[in-house]
Amino acid sequence: MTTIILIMSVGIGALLLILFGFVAYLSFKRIQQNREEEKVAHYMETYAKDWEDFLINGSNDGQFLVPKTKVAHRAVEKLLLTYKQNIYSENTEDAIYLFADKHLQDRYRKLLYSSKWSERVNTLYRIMDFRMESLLPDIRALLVSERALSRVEIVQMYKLLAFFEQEDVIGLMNDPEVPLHEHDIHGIIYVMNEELVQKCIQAKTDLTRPFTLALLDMVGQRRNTDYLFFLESYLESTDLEIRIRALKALYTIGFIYNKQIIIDSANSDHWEERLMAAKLIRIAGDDTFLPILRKLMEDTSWHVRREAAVTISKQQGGRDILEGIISSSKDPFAVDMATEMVERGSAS
Amino acid sequence: MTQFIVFFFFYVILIYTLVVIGSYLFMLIASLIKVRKEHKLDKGIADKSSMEDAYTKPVSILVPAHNEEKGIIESIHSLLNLEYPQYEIIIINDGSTDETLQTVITHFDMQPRNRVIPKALQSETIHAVYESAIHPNVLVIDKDKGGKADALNAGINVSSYPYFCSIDGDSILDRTSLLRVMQPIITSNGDVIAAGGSVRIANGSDIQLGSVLKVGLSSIPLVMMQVIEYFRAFLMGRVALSEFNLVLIISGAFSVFSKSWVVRAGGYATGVVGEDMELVVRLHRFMRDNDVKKRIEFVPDPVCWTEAPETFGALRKQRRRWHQGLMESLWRHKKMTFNPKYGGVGTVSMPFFWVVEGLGPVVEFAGYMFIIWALLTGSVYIEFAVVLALLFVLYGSVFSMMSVLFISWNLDTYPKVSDVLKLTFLSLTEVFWYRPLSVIWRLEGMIRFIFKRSDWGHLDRKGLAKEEVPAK
Repeated sequence: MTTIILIMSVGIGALLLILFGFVAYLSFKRIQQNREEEKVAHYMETYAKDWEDFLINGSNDGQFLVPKTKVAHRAVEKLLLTYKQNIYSENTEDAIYLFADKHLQDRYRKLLYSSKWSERVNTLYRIMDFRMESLLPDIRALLVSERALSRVEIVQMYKLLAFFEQEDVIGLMNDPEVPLHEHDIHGIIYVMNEELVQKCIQAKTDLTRPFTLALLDMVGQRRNTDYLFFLESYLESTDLEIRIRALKALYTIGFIYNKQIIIDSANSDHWEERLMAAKLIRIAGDDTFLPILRKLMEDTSWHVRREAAVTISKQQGGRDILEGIISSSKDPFAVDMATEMVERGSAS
Repeated sequence: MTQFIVFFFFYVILIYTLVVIGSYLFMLIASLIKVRKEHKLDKGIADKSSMEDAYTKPVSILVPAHNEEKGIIESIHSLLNLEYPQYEIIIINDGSTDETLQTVITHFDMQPRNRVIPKALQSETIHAVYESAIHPNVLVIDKDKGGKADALNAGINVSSYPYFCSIDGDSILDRTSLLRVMQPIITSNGDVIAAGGSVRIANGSDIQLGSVLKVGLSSIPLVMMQVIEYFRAFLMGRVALSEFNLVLIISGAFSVFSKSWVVRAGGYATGVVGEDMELVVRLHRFMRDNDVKKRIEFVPDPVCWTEAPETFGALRKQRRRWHQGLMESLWRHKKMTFNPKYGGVGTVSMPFFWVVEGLGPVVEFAGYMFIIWALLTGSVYIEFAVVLALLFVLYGSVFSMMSVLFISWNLDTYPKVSDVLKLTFLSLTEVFWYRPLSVIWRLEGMIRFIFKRSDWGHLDRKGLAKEEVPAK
């Protein structure tokens, strides 16, 4: 037992010694880090006027601002990002992109191959921020290399390809070997230009389900009436979720010319489609749908009743219609909902 | 015979302690790998990217409040400051006897609204729903007292969005925390149905109008010790368990759930002390019973600031309540323990929580008694006592010290070197005062569980703000 105690005491003692060593090391690192932060802040303060002259007034060529040290690099990066986020001027933006492309490119290229995951990911975000198209060959090389890439990296690389209008990104996003989540695809389509979105639409029959769902959402977000026919083509789908997304996108665009869609959706067996019918009537601008709305006010789903009540309240003479429902409907749920809407209307 | 009993006693405690140390060590390493990987990741850029994604899902934030007049305004302000595309804030006044309701009504110019409320879950009677004339996305529900779980169920019924976030009335959220805690839910395509963020102690920080302006450390050792304890729980539990979908506790102080799954699982259970853990265990159980593959995750980043008890009395109340809640959840779902039908949750998490968390205080208490007895009697078993004492130092203090070091190294929680040093040295004293006390409080919780005593366990709050916010 004495030997065990001795071994344990020595073990714990050694562990404590190591930990105290670690405390000393960390304290030293932290002090160093705090100093570095101070230096970065100092750099930014010292050169604030010069940067303003360069980026906003264009009164110097920025040559003397080229970063040479790690601290300067960090400060410059921080400065450029701040300017980019806060100043909305084309000249300033162009100056930022040109400077970054010329003077930060080498550093970012090196960082793309860093052994640290977080450094690689940060770099990918910055390439996007500073629109450094010159690094596109490196991104492509990385995508086909043997290196193990995380999902976050792959998605960010596809975003870059999409952002720089590379058509082959559609095929890559659709690749079953790297299955992307719908949310990832949203993010990639978000940065695409109109032309590339059109290419996705043309490839519609070959797209994976998550791709289709994301495309329907994002097409709706663009609020372009040219997409109406594309969206309507999905209303016959056997996949309920796809039909709902197409209806949602139509509602988001805010225009509907094929009124049969509303009638069909209002008669659906699925409450989600009936709910969308109640919403679509709002954008149809047609009071012939009032009987449908009255029927939806007595729907089995609370959500549908609520949406129908909201639509009625937004129509011309909606308050009278709701009051009519309160006094004549035999459905207590419809009456409650109509009452809420009337009170809400009078309060607002 | 006596010798046999002593040997038996000693070896049970020894083996138990070694098993616990082993499992903590494993979790520590797994957490470190994860935390280390994301060290230095520029989360700000990732947040911006998430905000730009048009399809971030809307969230209803539920804030149950029972006598929270001191902290509620700060809490609502912190929620109004959140960076998130679409959310509503629902304060649920659960039969407060103080000025909670009136404070909120006055401060935010709340107007009564007639609302049709779907009864997805049972709850006590709702008397009124108010909407703010200043912030249309702020609602207050005034209802009969039914406990926190009941309040949350009422909030779920009133909520409009598909996800809800439950936070305590005395908590403050970081601006980006909702965006970050929703990340696994959004990016997983519905595979993750609940996520919890990490909770930090706000005492000592500069908080004004619902924002943490400067992170600071309280000078009260009892609070500092809780800071250490939160670090430790974070590193030696949640991060590692989350990697394997084995999380049983995501803090009720700040967590996000998919509404439809919670409603399907029956909502929060009323009449239990630890409704947050109970819900998580029930969700796991529901998923396995219905053969659904979903995940519940702990997200290390999002930070919710909470007020820690500053007195022994208040801490004792909190800890015995937590332990009672833990025991209740484990007991209610005892069928899952060692049951392979429930996968890793049944075969790993449940036994782990039973043995290490649930019964831990009993064995630890026995260990402390053994050490004291051997030292006082000066008997031949003093060497056994020294072995146990050394293991307790390793288990109680050294692990805590490691947690402080790794967290401050990787997460830059406290930028001041002096704060890190204070925490490091204080963690070494844990085993000599804080741990024995918490063992006794947890034992009390266990006794209360056995005798089924229950109450809201409300703690008196000082409020997190440095200065009172003037009412409108």
